[in-house]
Amino acid sequence: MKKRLLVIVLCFAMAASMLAGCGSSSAGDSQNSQGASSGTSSAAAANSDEEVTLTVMSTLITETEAPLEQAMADAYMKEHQNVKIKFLEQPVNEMAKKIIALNTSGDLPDAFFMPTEFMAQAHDMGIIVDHEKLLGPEFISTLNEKVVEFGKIEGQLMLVPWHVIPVALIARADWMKDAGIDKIETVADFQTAAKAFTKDGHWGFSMVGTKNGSGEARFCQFIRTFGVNEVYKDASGKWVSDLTTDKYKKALQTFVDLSKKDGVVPPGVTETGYPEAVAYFAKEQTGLMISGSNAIGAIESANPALKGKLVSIPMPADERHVTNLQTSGYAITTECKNPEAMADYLKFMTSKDIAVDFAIKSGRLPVTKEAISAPELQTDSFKGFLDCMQYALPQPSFPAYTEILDIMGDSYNTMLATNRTIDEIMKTVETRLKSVLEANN
Amino acid sequence: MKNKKEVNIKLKRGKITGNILTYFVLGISSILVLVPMLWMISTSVKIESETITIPPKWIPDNPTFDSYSRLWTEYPFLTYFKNSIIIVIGAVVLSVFFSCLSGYGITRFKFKGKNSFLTFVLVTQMFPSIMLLIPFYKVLDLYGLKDSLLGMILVYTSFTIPFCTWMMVGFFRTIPLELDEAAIIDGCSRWKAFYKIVLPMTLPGISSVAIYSFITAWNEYMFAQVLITSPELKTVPLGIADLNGFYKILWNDMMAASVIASLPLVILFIFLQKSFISGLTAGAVKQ
Amino acid sequence: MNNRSGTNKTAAFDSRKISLKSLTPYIFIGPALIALIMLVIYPLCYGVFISFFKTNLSNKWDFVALKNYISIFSDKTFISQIWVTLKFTFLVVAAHFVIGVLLGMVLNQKKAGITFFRAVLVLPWLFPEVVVALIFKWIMNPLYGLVNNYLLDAGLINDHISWLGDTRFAFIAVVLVCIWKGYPLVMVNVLAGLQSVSEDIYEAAKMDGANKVQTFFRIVLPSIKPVLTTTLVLDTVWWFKHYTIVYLLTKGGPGSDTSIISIEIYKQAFEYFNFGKAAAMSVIVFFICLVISKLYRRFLDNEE
Repeated sequence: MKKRLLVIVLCFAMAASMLAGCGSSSAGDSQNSQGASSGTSSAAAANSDEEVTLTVMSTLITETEAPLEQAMADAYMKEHQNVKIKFLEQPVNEMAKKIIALNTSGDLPDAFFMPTEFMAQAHDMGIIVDHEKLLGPEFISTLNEKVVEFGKIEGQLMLVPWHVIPVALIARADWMKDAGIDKIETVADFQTAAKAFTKDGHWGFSMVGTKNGSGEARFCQFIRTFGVNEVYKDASGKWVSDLTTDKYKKALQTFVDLSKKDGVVPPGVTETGYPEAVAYFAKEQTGLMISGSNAIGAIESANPALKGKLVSIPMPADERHVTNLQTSGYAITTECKNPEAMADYLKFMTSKDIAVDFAIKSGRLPVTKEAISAPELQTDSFKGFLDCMQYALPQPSFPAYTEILDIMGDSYNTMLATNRTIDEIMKTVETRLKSVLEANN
Repeated sequence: MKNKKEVNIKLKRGKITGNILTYFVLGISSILVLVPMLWMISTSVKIESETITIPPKWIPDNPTFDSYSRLWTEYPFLTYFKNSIIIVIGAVVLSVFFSCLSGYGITRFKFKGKNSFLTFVLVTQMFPSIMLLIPFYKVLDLYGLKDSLLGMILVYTSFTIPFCTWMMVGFFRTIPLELDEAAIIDGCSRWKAFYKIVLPMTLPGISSVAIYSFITAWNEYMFAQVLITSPELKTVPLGIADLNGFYKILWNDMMAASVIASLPLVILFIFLQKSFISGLTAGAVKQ
Repeated sequence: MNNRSGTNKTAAFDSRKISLKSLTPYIFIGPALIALIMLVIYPLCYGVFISFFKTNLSNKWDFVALKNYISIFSDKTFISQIWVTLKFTFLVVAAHFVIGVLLGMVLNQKKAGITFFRAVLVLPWLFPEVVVALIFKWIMNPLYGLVNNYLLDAGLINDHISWLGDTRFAFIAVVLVCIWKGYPLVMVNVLAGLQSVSEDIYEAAKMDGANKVQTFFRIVLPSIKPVLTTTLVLDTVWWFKHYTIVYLLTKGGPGSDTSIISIEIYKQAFEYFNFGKAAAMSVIVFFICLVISKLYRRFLDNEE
């Protein structure tokens, strides 16, 4: 029995050492390869014949744009034989989590797709290079100013702008014509159109009523048109918010009334997320939707018969037109060994022909002044999105910005779902807002 | 004689009502289970523009298996399956083996720290896993196992050991101690008594913990998402999640992938549930 | 949890093999213990550690002592989220056990087609949570979902009902989906447990004139109790910490009807990036789970 036990122990010891062996050898391999690549890459800056590998963490892989992006990289690699671009795929919802995990062990990729809601946190973490310096004033001057402004947190450009997804109103042009509506300029116009579209089992407005980032971003634009600024620095440099004002109360009430009073929104609004809202619009159940420009592509691919029947209009204004530009692009990390090579590739992606083609296919609009004015983009479906860019407000650099969004989301979602009065809701907003602002002032 | 016949008839009647009740319960539950499943299958043979219709349609106008073939041609599901199978088999073997050992050890010996061990094992399950994501990455980095299949095997083993160990303790407890005692008196070693005599009797238990750890490891998404970076090491759940975009859900492809991904589990279950029967005979013998 | 009869028996072994008695059991538990220590200890400690910090896990580590805990408890919403979570967990786990034990017993018969039913009834367990959540969200969609479509056709309702968005139904709808997903675990383990109960015992009970109900409570239940207790403890803990299905179905809405604690922890950590606060919440959840499991074990193991 002693012997047998000894055998067992030995087996385990062997197994354990094998495991350990595997582990250490694979670690060794990866270290070697890392060492090798960093060695060659530092030389690459000087000598363009040396091999350079760029690791790029992309979120478009789960979207329809994946082949388009791959084609860009292929085109670039063909022009620059020494550069190898390696994509790592990451769904956009998981990006922040992944970057934070990778950063704890110093494994950041050379560049990653920067989600808008992660910008402030990435700035705080200090993991992004100074893009403005890297790209140079010459390149920056080719970009639309609003685009650059939107991509900044406390003066630091957080990404290399690649495309924008401005938020505007998408409407059914044919339904507008049938209803005799020629413009939707104000919130009152919007309400009129929505009511006119609500008939024969159709509803006017594909509202996204879920309490998540997607719904909150849309709602945020809606309340901004009422002159509300969700969070900003006052003259003394302190963070303040308009969410406790009567303007916000009015905006919230108007928004909720669309569903509860006017009945222009399909049933189940509090569970209608972006995919459902697009499905309703594509299945011709609704005729209006607040959305980014890429929804055009999604709607048309789900129902090709709608091609040519869509029109985009800047957000209807109660006090002012606004938009959220959603400047999107890759952020180069501080761990990137070849920032120049990386920047060169990212600049290549913004060049006119590529960007215009990408915009037409994906609805993600260009960032350079030249490409924005390309005649191919001046169509009904894109015009409103391009027009509204002038109304863009910069992204507040408030560190807990997502929490502000959540406060808004909570207010409309609760009001839509329950019978709580607006005063009760405003009270909750006030309490939560106070603690968030206090924590960050 | 007469009396016995009456009893028989009564028994028979009881059996018939019992049968009806049994099949009634089974039928209702099966319908509740199958409707979503059939919807899944129906969706997987639809073309994209037909996935969402108002009103919903069970039988598509243009049924097609394109989604299934796309899994292998357009998406690298073959690689995902290969990775998942390696990880899952590794994790199942390790966790079943480890938990059988500890289940036997716990029920057959008196030793210091037994209760602390059992409590510790249970306690590892109580911390919200969301907050463990990032430190797990650091741990694997420490062992040089991040972004590797072996790392995932160990992680999933650590996830499944607690439940498996506790279950095996329960199953080993149902086996009378006289058995190993007798075996050892007969000249068996402790080790032989374990794997020759006692272990086979816990086969139903082993099957159930094997199924548990297989399913857990096969479907785990959150940790794989953070711990695996290389595209060539992705597992099946990561592949399925890639079909569920932020802006777009490829319903037909995703459902096809889910159906295919569940097949190994269904086969495994049908195969292993037979051991529940063989366990029955073993149980009959053991007393 | 000691099995007293077991310890008596082992005492006999102990006297025979003195040299090995101290080592042998540790060899048996060693592999599991080492695997857990190597992987889980550090993450657990890390979680507790950062609960005392205000940190971005990168370049900012401000020690704040108990401030995170204080801010959690000074807020009513946390308490109400814990309450929702308890309600949710209780309903889900109770239903898992009722359904699981019932079906496990029914499936433990030799009847025609039983293999088919076993395979069908285990299906919900086999699919990833993400897929289950998405498919139910679809089936319950107010406009294009199956449920409303059938109910409208049958004339049972005359309006599109928002199952996941209406405050009257959302909580119960979410609970039902989670019951659907989770009962097979209990069912399979009951089945396995019943199969290790020898038929002789049933025969003996029958001979003693026990009826079915008596047999169930006196013979069957005690013999599968260790297995059931374990499943109960872990099922409770798991569903208390559950996140995926509820998040995908409702995001915690409408209002705060389904805002279970894990969703809040997730938001604090990966949407607001308050890792310290999220960790502090996790520590609290950890202790709640610990208390629940202690209570279970006290009540269920009382005769040992």
